Amino acid sequence: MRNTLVGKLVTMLVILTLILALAGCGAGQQDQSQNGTNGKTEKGEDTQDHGEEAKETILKFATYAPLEKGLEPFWTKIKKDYEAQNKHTTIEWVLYPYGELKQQVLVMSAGGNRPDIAYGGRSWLDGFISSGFLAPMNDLFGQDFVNDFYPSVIKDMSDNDGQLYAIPQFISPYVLYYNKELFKAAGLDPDQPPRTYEQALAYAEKLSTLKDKDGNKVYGLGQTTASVPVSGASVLSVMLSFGGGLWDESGHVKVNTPENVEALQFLRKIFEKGYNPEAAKLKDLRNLFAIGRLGMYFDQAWGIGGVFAMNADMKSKVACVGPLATSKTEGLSTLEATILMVFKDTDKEKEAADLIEFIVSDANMEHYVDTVAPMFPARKSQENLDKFVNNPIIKDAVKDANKVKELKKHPEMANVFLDLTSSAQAVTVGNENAEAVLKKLEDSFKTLLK
Amino acid sequence: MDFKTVLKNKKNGDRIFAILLMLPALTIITIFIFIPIAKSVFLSFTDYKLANIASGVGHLWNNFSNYKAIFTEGDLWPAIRVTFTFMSMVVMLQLFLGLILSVVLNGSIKGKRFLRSIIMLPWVIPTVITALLWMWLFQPQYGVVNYLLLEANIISQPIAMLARPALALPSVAIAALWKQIPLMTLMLLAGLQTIPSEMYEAATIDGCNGIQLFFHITIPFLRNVIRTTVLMSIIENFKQFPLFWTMTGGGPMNSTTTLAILSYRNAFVNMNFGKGAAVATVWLCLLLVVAFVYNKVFTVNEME
Amino acid sequence: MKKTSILSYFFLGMILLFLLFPIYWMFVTSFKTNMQLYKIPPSWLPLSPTLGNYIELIKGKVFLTYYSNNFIVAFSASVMTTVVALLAGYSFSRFKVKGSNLILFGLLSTQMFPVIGRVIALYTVFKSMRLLNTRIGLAFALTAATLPFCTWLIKGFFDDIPKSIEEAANIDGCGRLMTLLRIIMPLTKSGLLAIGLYTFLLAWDDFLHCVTLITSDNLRTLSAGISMRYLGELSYDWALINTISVIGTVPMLLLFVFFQKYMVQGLTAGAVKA
Repeated sequence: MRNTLVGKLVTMLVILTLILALAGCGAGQQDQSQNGTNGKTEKGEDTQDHGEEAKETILKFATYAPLEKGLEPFWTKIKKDYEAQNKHTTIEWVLYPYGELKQQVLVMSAGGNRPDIAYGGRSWLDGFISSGFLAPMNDLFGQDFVNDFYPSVIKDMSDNDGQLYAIPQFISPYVLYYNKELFKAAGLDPDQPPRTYEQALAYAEKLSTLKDKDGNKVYGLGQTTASVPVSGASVLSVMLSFGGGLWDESGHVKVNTPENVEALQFLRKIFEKGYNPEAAKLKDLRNLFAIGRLGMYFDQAWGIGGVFAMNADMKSKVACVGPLATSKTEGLSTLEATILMVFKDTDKEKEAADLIEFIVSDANMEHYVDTVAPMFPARKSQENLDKFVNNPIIKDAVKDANKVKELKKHPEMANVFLDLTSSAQAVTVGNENAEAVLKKLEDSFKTLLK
Repeated sequence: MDFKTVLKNKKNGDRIFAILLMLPALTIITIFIFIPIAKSVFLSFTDYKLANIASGVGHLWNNFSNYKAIFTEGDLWPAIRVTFTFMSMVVMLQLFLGLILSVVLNGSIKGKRFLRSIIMLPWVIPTVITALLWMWLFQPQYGVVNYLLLEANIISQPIAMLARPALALPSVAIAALWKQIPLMTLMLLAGLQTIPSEMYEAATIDGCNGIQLFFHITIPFLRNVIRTTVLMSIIENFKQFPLFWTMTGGGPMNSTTTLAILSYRNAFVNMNFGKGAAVATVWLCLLLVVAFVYNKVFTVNEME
Repeated sequence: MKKTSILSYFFLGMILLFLLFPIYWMFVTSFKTNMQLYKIPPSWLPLSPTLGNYIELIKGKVFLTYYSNNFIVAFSASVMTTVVALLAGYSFSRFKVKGSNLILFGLLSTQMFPVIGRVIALYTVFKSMRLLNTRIGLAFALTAATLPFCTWLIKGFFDDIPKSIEEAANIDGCGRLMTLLRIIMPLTKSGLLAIGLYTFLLAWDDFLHCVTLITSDNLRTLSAGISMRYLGELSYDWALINTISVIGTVPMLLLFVFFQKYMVQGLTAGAVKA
């Protein structure tokens, strides 16, 4: 009796395994056909449609945005509106989460399966350009369209030879967000925000004497220095503001400069005085800002969306100013942007370019700022659009959005940023000497960036 | 005909049957483990970057330049040091705490059956979740660990444990210990239960005290269990990846960049698969050396 | 005597706190709203518990996808491992073919190889076998990863069964395979269950294989899905993270509660004997 029972059990298990295996394979094939053979089916359709006037185009659009709750409605509308205007075009999302998208699209493309268009962050551009999958854009768009963008932004979207590879949707320098209520509580005027680093330090001093209602410390001035590339870009902005940077006039790596030393010393100061939470990610700063335990912090314009997701009450309590000035500069920052890239050799570059022009049109830009998050436009013709100049959160900073410095493109840029944030950690939590740290950094960059 | 007579011969039949039974296992392991390892070692000698794949060049022999690069760039030695520090820290503390805990749970303590199963809980928590949980506990401004330390006046300012170069590694080690102590205790406990209680009785009559009992009876009896579990623990911690990747990503200032992180970063962040494979190969060799030495030490001890 | 017992109770108390408090805290946090859980001093009990986090999580359908993928993959891996390890373990235990010890040692040594070390090449192997982005491929990779240890464990169980049983079965006219399936296998039930559960546990825990071998979001398993999706792009949603942790842990807790006897027996049997 027992033996037959066990026998049955085994048979059942074997059958189950087989079914699962089949189901798994089936699912896998389905998936591969979804991802992999699109190109083929399209070509098939093309030949069928041959001779007819319009051909069906499927634009494969690699993006993370429709996966995010806050962004999904906007992009669904874009898809719907665009498909309504262009009857023979279908937009097909290729979706990966933000943190995954760049790597996945690169790997996918390397496997001979590239999308037509991709949406991402500015920091991905170096990797994409060096991969060689992108279509050069200089001839893809009209001259008037390209010339409408801020020149520094276009330079930043181009490779070292000046070939354009991406169109920005929105741009942002690192701006300073501040909590108006905490300003009032500290006896500061919310309509007179700091304009220079020096003023910011004085404001931070006052803000950091505050306590929240449970008696916890309030931080005065947040600047991210965590072990992630974006923190490095933000640290580089501080360096740029103090007149420093990574290269000298003639384009040689030059990091150990008095200007950069001053920038690092600024970081040490806000750490030592307890204004800045140590080695915090931007995410941590947004959380702290959302619960009213951080008075001011540097972030990209859209970062404030993270604050609102946590605490919607903050919408009426925040405002921002553009890059802060120093004795050396009027304020300067690295450029952060959401960018649109077109892939080459897809036979659909023109269609992709058309979709991009649609996305960055006035109406869609205004709709985005209205419904999604504060953003700055990258086009001169858009800086006076109603929704930007009257947005209570960003109106003060809109005209400063082009205070950005373009960076040379290099495939190792992510590592450069990681090293930069490491040096910021070294002078703060590591308590090392700024010159020594920069000297080490310069040596490592000389091999990394050669 | 021929085949049938071969089968009829019991010995031959057994042999064929034995090989047939092994075949599925050998096939799976060959395809998914042996071939990848061999290929990985091979790739470590080639130029294999994303650009090579994109341009269709594939992998090209590159005259050890991956190895030259990792040995000269100066990331490798710190990574080896961090890996060994982490491993020895976790293994030793784990053995120490596990031993005490298992001896306590083997003694006459109320509700020990219940306790024995409840201490196993952290073991079944997935590693990524373990990492997130401890990140949450260690969070500087609103994490509960900092709050308790502040209340107890051990610290005067909240500390970002995972962001301080000196504290990040121990903090990850705490999370690793938390997840691994239960299994170690379980194994040791099983070992303890094989010790006949008459041994203790006899020794107690001979006038041995608790500590003497521990060193003269418990430890020798546990020798085999300790040897196996410690080796398992060494291997596991030498390989640890998800805890680091989730909790610190290798920072701050590379103070938690282990060989695992270094290899992953090279291969999957910088898309230089050849270089990533080179780090992995060095790592593999180190692991082999450690396991070999470990076994040697134990065998020598046994001979004495 | 007294002193040592107080000491041992103290030690026990401390270590229980260390091991169990985090789990308690995870549960408590998952029932708080985001604004509540940033309160310091924290409230040790969920004073106004909310199910909002759970509802939000389940509403987002991706989570259920990750969850069921994880079940499918872990279950297939444990079934495959059990069947394959059963056959191989029996072979290693009973038929001393020349070099079989060497093979077993070779298999076991693969257990030492770091996953990252082979995952780079595994990716290319998967690609050429068209297994990338398939759940069954992932299950195979995980099977291969636990197979050596499981084979070795189950071999120990077979070693304990006297050979005379098979000889008797042989006289009764049972073939070799029948002897194994009908007579020997039932005697190792607890061992089989143990390796099945062990594989399930490891497969459920897998992160690296899934991260590299699955690139399609709707085929991802839980650990990879969590770290890619729920860590928040713009801010940390700690309430949601703790909720996911609870839900991701509960199946393992249940499995452990119901089957701990077998798991413990199986795992410790190997270690104690070796």
